[in-house]
Parts: sequence; C-alpha cells; structure tokens
Amino acid sequence: MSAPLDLVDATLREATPLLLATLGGVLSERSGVINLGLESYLLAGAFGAAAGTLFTGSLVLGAAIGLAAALVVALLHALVCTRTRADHVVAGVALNLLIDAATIAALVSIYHTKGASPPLGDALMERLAAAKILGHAPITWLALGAVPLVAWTLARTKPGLRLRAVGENPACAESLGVSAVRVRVLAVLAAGLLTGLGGVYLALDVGSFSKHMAGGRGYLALACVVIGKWRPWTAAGAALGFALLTALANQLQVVTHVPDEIPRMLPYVVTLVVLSGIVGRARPPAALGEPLGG
Amino acid sequence: MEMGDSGRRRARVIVLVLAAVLLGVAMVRGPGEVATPAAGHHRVAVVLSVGGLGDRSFNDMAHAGLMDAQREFGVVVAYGEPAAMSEDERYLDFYAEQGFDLVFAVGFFMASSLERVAARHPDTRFAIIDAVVDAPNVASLVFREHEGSYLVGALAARKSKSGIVGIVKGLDVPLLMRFEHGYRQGFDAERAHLGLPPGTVLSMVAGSFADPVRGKELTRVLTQQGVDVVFQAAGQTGNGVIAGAKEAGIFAIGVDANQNHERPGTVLTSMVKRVDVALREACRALVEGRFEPGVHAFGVADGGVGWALDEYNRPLVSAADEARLREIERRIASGALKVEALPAGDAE
Repeated sequence: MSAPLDLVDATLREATPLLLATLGGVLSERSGVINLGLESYLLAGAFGAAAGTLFTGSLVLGAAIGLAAALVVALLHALVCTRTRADHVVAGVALNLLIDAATIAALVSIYHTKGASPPLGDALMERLAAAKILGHAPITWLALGAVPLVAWTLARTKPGLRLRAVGENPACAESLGVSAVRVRVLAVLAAGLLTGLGGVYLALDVGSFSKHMAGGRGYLALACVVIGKWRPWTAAGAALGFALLTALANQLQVVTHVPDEIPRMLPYVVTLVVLSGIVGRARPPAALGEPLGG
Repeated sequence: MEMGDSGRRRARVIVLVLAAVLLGVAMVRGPGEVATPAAGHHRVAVVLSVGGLGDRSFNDMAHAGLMDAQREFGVVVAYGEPAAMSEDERYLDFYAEQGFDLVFAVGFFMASSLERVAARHPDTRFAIIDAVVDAPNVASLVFREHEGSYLVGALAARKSKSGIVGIVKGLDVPLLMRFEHGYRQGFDAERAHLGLPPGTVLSMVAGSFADPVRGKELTRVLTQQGVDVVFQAAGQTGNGVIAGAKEAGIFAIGVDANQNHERPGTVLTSMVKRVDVALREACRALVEGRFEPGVHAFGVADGGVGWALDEYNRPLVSAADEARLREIERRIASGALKVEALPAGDAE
C-alpha cells in the first residue's frame, strides 16, 4: 500500500462520523435551531447500534435500533427547542449531559458495567469486514453521498426552501402557510438521522460501545458548520479538511512526534477566526436560536 | 415582538429549572451512603480515579481488591466515584471526616489533593496508588510497571516477524513513560538475546483514555508501518487498539487487568498490574495492626506486576517462550536484571 492512498483511506474513515454530524448540523441550524446536541445523537446512535446488534445478532437491525435511538433523542431535542422557549444552547448542552449519563446508566442496567458494552463476536466482525465496499464501510459511502443530497435538498427542493425560510424569518414563513414548528422538528429529526448514522459507524468500527465514545466529534461538527458558513458543501469541505489534518497528524506522529494537541485545537482556532469575521463574513441564519411564536 | 418579555422570563425559568436539576443530580452523586460501622470492625474507603468503575482495569481492580478485603478481613467498606478531578479532595475529606480508619486515593492525579487532606487529618491513615505522597500518615503504593512491561516487550520481540512493534499510550505522562521504557528495554534486550539485528519500537499517544475509535485508527497507522505487535496503555481507547489489531491480524498486548479473554488469538498477553492485591494487602496490614506509612513498591518479585498466561493465550505462547519469560522473571526478581524506570535524564 502506498502512503498517499493510506492517507486518503484514513481521511475517509475520520471523515465519516464528522461529515454526517456536520450535515445534520447544517440542516438543523439552517432551520433556526442551534444544535449543540449533535454529540448526544452520536452517543445514542452508537449505544443503540452496539446494544441492538448484541441483542438481535443482526448488524442491520442493530444499525436500525441505533438510528431509532438517535431519532428519539432528536425528537426530544426538537420539542424542547420548538414547543418551549428554552435557550437552544442550554438545551443542547443539557441534552449532551443527559444522554452521556443515560448511556452509562443503560450500560449498568444491561451489562452491569460502567465502562463498555461487551465486544461484538468474531462472526459479526467478520460480516462487517465482508460488507466493506472498496475497503470502506457502507456508512462511509452513505456519508459521502449525503453531501450532494443535502446540498440539493436545501438549495433546490420545496422542503429545502421552506427550511431556509423558517431559519431566516419564521414569522414570514408562517404567514405563507408554512408551519415553522413542523419544519424545525423535521429538520432536527433529519439531523438526528444523519448524526445517528455517524454514531452507528463509531460503534461498529470498534465493535462495542464505550462511555463518552463520541469524543467531542459532535462539537467538532458544529465547528465545521460555522467554518462552512452554514452551507452544506463548504461545511462538508471543512469536515473533510479536518479529517485529512487528523489523518496526516496521525501519520506524522509515528515519525516525528508532533504534539497531537496542535492539530486537535486547530478546528477551534479556525472557528474563532471565522466568527471574528477576519476571513469573509460569517452570517448565520437570521432566526438562528430565535424561539418561535414570539 | 410583543411577547418577548414574558417569553424571555419563561426561558429564564426553564434554564433555572434545568440548572437546578443538574445541580441536584450532582449533589445526589456526592460521596455515597456510609454503612454504619459494626463495633470492632475496621472501616476502609476508596476514592476512585476519574472515569470510575467499568474501566475493566485500574478502577475495577481497586474495587475488586476492596471487595476481597471486605470478604476476607470483614472490614466495612465504602467507595466514591468523583465525577471530576476537582472533586477528589472533597471526597477524601469526606471519608476522613466520617472517621474511616484507612482512606485510599486511587491514581496519581490525586497526589496533590491527598497531600493537603492528609495534613488536615493527621489521625486518619491514607494510602495512595501510583504516586508518592511524603506524609507520616500516608502509605504510597507504587508499581514497577517497567518490570512488567519489560516482560511483555521481550515476548513481543519473540513474536514479531517484522522486527517492528508499537505502543499506544492514552496520554503523554511520566507514569505511562515507565510502561514504554520498560517495553523498549525488554524488546531490545530480547532481540539481542536472539541474535537478531536491532528492531524498532514505534510509540503513539491517543490524547484520550476514552476514544476507542481513535485507538483503532492509530493501530491502523502502526500496522501500515509494519508493526505486528502493539501494546496498549490507554484505558477504553485500548479497546479500539485491540479491535484494530484483530482487524489487521496482528497481536495486541493488554494492560492493567488480564485482557487475554477479550479477543482470544489477538491478545498475546497482558501486562497485569495487581492494584487489587496492593489494596487488599494494605487492608490486611491495617487489620493486623502493622499498617506502615512510606513507599511500598510492587514489582515482579512479589507478583505486583507481571505477564498473564491463561487458557486464552496459551496457544500463542510456545514452551520456549514461556521458559524464557520465566527465566527473565527470575532474573528481575533476584535483582540480577535491573530494569530502568525512565530514560536517563528524564525526571519523574
């Protein structure tokens, strides 16, 4: 295997959960819901996939259970952010804490441990390996395919137009007969589906769930949304860029011992730079974080 | 917006309620309930490291040692799991104030907290695992991880075909440097003993003890460099190292607890660190009235550290491998072989 090809492969693996969460973040935020809860969707998806696969013995059913778990969390999040006047940032952070603790509580009640689920058996891991397409998990290809799909939906379809309208001016959208609550709930559910799939990837990649395993990827995805200025292509580009950087840093670490903290903090530095307006103008959706019915 | 004011008030109320709920949860999760002491029984408390139970290594072993002590010596036990390092001191204080006879601090992160707590409670006995606290009422239980790591490094040298082996550490800290340095010495010495040219030890830091996905990715990078045996000292991140080794068809070496059973055929051995034994023996000393402050080091000689051989990895270890490792064990135990803890010039 050649080094450049290794780097591409590593980038795609790093990018998979990040891309999905980033696209989820774009959809949610463009509808006006600030989404700090991506981390909790990842955790729910990962836990559901691991527990579901262990329980049913089927990878497909396990993945479906992971997605369902993430959707439930997203629904809760969507209701809090649309039906109440809760601050979106607080709601997202609270949800992350809640789900982090809930997955540990579930580990204790199901597996009697606070750390990690039992690993999937060798037969399941072999089936996962056999399901790879061109050396990558099917979810990786779905993540890549989701980029144009989300971009197209947002830019060219009626639901996409409505979503953006609610994100910019919910009162105006309402006056045209669009239910802002409904649009935002659906947008957050879509975010739950995409990000949950990223969580499924995390659990199936290592073949078990372990606590805190989202590892801040949800926050990193939110940084990508901001750096990408809330646009799907650029946000996905940011996610791929950081995945490439991480992959590069991993390869460099073997040979040079570059402190790994430097590539790890870079996304947040770039986010601050973008937010400060030094590079171009970062304009969030006008009604981002605005409660409805005001 | 006309409703703006009342809306903001409502939002504020919700935020307050959420904050209150979270605070309430945090308070409830404070130091746990304390069993009423039966007359004449010694009372022992353990403050676990951040990360808590379920790590399948460090904290779980400390807990196992405490349960052993409860069963064998009839001590009354309690344990606490601080949610953050900043709470360590409060937990230690709590158990001391509750009149426990012996309070354990599990993990080197607690050293500075314990220094202060031990000074405030001169009549309480304390013990710390993995660090040295110099106080008249503190026993410091430390391990010669470098000795156990030397052994697994030697086995890695015997099993590696490529002559390139790896180690994945959770964080770049002196404690884990002892694992790496011992591993390197064992690997190098065994290559020389076998008449092989010098090999290579590649080292990586994950930056987290809780990210198995990252552990697996780093293992892939090591595999691409030709590594065919990888030692993990990385907590839950290490689960990913073992999964990555399995996928790549290379060997992994477990750490702290015996992890041989996790992926039989992949886990070559485990560098076991008997935190449970150290804790239980300190309790035994307490009930027998011979608890001694000061530094107690556990190494290969007393079985405090070592390599694990059981039915899960038996097929991977030949009779010659085993005989050779037993020989190295004897030489370390007798003092004939001295394993360096840290590279010369590296202060602890």
